[in-house]
Amino acid sequence: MSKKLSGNTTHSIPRRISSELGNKDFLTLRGLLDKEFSGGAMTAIMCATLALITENTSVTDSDEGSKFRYNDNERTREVFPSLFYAVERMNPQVDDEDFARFIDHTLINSGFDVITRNTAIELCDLMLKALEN
Amino acid sequence: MVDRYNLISLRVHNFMGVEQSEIKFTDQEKNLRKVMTITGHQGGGKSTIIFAIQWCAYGTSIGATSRRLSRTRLYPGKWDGKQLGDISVTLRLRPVGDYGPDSDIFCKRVLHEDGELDSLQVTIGPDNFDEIESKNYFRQIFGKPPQIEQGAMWVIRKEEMQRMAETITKTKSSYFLDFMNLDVPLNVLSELKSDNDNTIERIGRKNWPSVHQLPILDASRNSLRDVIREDKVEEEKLIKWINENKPQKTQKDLQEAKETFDKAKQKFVDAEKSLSENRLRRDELVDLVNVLLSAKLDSSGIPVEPSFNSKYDWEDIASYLEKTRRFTPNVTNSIKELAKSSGYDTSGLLDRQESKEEWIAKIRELRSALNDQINSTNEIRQLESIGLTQENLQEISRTNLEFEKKTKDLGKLSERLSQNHEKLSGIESEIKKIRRSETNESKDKIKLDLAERQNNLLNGLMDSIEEANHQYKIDLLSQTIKRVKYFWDIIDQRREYVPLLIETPTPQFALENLSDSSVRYVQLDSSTGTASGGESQLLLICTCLAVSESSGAKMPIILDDCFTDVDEPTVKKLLSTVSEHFNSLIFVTNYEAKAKLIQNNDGVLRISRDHVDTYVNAKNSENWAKWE
Repeated sequence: MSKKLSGNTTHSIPRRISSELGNKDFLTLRGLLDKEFSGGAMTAIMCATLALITENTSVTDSDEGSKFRYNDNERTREVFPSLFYAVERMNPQVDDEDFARFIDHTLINSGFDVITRNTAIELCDLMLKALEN
Repeated sequence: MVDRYNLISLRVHNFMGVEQSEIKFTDQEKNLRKVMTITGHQGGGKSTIIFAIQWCAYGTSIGATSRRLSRTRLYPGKWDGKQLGDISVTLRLRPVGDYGPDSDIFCKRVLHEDGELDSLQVTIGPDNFDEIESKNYFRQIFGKPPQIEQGAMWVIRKEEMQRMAETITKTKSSYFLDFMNLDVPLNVLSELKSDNDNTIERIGRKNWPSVHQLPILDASRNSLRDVIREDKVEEEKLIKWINENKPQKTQKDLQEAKETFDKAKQKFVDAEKSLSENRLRRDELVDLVNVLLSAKLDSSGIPVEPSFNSKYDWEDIASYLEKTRRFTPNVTNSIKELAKSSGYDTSGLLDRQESKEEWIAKIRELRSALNDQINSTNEIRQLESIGLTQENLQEISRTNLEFEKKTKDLGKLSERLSQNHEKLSGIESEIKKIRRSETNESKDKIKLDLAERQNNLLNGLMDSIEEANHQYKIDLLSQTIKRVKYFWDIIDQRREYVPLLIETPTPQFALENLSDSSVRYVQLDSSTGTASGGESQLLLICTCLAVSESSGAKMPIILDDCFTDVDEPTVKKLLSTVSEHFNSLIFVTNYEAKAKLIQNNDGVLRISRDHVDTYVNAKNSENWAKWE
């Protein structure tokens, strides 16, 4: 498998943050969002972003989550290339074969872990830290 | 029964020309002077002494038609017509006979500076008499009040004689007859009747509560007692409830707690609102992710390379080159291939510095709103942890309101109880009053009955007296005429005339000549009479003596020098007759020689202003009136 991923790549998010089965608190980023995430793509991108900015890759397990494709909606199509670019550049050690799996298993789950382990204020602080550095 | 009184002393204060003086009428051994002379020059003050005695007896004029001394006439001249102090005269009298000082009567008349009327007080030994008793007592001593200003039948002056001469008649009210009628008993009866009328009116005015009201009052009382009993039970209940439910927080504390709670709640609402406004919108997340990733790459020192995709449309470029026909298809196909196989689109990551600042501010605001929301939530939780919840506050408030209501109810109940107690007390008092009044009413009925029966009797008596009075006057006149003749017979030394009452055409006194039965009419003014001056004077003196005798007055006879024309032997006889007959005599004269005419004289009181400046006072009093 090539390192290059397209919008048709299928990944999954943990069920605890899925639209159908998830926890409202997690689906609103601990209350930071005005509305819950809708569909898995944006949820996954946000989780992976949080994992990247906190450099958290502690979780590698994957359960049978809720599947999605990055092309599922117009908005995520605009942003997933940025994510893939950043992941690729910040993790050059990940070889081409593991790239998709790294995002799907490690980053999305680690990002969800960040959400579950932090409060809304702490999430703000994490984001501010990333922005102010 | 006392017939006459002697003068013991006369004390005068602010009376006419005398500021202060006391004249003692006893001798040095304190023996009574039954017969005495008061002499002195004209203007010395002899008349002042007589006026003082007379004023003490009858008091001051209170009306224009009064026959008594007018008030202003009493004032010392230096007062200039305005009373500047109290006026008083005290007369001390002792009954003629075997009586000592214990029987002395003190009669004091005072006209206070600020008083409207004078007042009289009589003291006999240790006994004091009130105003009315004093007047009654005095009436017995002085006789009826005079009909003219200078008029007391025991004071015989020219004025009395003149008046006597003018009004000696039985057909009309006269000075003469005033002393000989039944007015005194009639007046006494009239006063008694007036007292009875007052009693009847007073009792009639009384509104005795009817005994028929008793059952109604009893029923009201019992009903009120029941109400009071029930109210007391209710009161006890309320007191118990109030004691058990005393509010933990006063209304003020409660208000403060409510304000604190409301404030915290408002803060929470505001924070919620602010949070709601600052929450991240889902459509902003694309931008946020780009900014976050851009910042992270930047901080990690990883430059963001512009991507082919991001900069050029390779398909369009290849199409353009094909149209120019300057490049081979291999070249244009290779260029088209670039569009498919180039790196990720990095346009979202490029040039995000400005957005980054905006996001920092936005997330800070969001954080602050979150913080406020958390703090206000914590504050409310803290208040709730100490028992302040909205529900709790409402409950406390409700309990407090109920407590207030019950307290007010208790107040009203207590007030009603107090009013009912008062009402009950009133009813009980009324019941007692009715029961007591049953006794008093019967007593009053007895009094009323007595007064009415007395009045019937009095009316009859008064009618009888009025009917009898006319005849009584005629009889008294006849009797007095006999006494006039009696005195004339004793005193007259010439034996030429006898007194005669001519009844027609005008009643008047006359003298009938014993030898020729000729009649000489008497007038004090000799120009209108035919009798001589001396004869007229003697006849009128005899008349005055007779009237004085029948008037009942018990004072010494005071003979002012009113018989200037009577011959000396007759004067001598007159003086001796009066002193013997009336047991005491005060002879007042200007003439030293006349003073000597009196036989058995007990003393001569000389009144002289030789050593008195203007007014007689305590210092010069002894010089003014001196016994010889």
